[in-house]
Amino acid sequence: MSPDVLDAITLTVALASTTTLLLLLLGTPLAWWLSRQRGNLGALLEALVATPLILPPTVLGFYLLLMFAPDGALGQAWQAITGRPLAFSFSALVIGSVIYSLPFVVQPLQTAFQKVPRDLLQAAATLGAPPWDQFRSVVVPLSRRSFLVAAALGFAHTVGEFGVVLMIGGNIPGETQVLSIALYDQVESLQFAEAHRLAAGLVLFSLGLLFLLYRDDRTRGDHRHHWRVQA
Amino acid sequence: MRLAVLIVLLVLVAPATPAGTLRVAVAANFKPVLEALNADFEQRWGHHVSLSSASTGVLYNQISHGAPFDLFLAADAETPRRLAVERATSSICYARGQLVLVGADSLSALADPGLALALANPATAPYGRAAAAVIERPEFSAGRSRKLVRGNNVAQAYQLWYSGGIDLALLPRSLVPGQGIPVPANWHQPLDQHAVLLNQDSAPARAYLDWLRSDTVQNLIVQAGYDHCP
Repeated sequence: MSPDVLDAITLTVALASTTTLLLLLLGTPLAWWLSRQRGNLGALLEALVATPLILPPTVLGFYLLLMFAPDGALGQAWQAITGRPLAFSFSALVIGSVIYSLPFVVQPLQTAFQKVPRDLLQAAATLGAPPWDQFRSVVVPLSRRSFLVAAALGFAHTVGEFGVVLMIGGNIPGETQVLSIALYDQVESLQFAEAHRLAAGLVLFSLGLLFLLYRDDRTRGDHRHHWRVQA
Repeated sequence: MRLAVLIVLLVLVAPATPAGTLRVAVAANFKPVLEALNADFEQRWGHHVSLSSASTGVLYNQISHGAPFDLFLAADAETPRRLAVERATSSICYARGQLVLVGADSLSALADPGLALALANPATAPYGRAAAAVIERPEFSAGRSRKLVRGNNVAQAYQLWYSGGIDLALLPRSLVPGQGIPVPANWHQPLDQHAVLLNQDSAPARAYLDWLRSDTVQNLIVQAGYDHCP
């Protein structure tokens, strides 16, 4: 395997892990809030979270690029704080991926939170548990599996990203050239043997991950598949 | 809390550019040439060279949005000149490109509307612009209704022709060594390829530019299918 491909693998794993962790941190409170929310504001936010599912990645890439550029709002602030440009950096990829993979983490969690029986929470409250403790001792254990699913989907979807990464990351080996971009590069330069290896590897990874999730679901006798992403 | 610490750790260990890496943005036509030549520079100077390739227009767009390249090797003269003016420096020619037609025995195939043609996107790729000027010529007007397939850059145009069942392609000679019919150079704007230093503080970038302009490397560039700079 060429050093560029090894770089691309390291980079992709780093990007997907960072994105997944950030998504779990941000997505959990958001999903909890959404699961309790009725009315227009909740619907609007839910729609916003789901938009990356149906929006062409180029739309997101375009707006993010404008924001991340040195004269863009976010790019300027970033440069002032860190002293480094934001566009075409690893950090830019992380921000883009968090937005792009948000529905894949929030939706399974929200569905799980909605299924938590109200009377359980009321019982916990009667026993004197403050809201945070109710969440930790009742909701989290009941939704454990959905956390696993959300993390797996967030990770896998970030690995599968292409358009956004191409537009805000460029194609810099070792910095922003993730696997999907490396593959694109190889196909373009007619390195079909390498491209085949990479493409087959990605197919096996995605298939394997989903297989494990579905199999686990079946062995638990849970055929409701409540966590499947729905637009 | 543990999660937060883990994230901070991950971001810290996230791949940063190793010191001594030279980041070169290169127009797609010239990437294969550099890939073949870079080992020589890396050995001499001990710097790793990382190549990012796309069409000249796409790279320009990335650079003007803050992409962190040290050096830009374009496929035309205008784009690097524009960047050079912004940076109060100058651009320098490193090769002159040639356009060839592949997939036919004669340039008259360009007058055949039944033959599909692949070219690089004229909006972003100088070779695409040159190709568009060629097929606009009056002697090829009969071929106007042909199917035109645009690649994002010359490498993709080549790939579309090579694997996509497209009959013809107008490509840089360096991509298809020993193949194709040369297109007369006065049929399009000269394909003078200029380089510009983007990071004035980078000693390796300066060294790279000097190395690229050295007689040895210039001869290798000509062997790869380019002409000497005027």
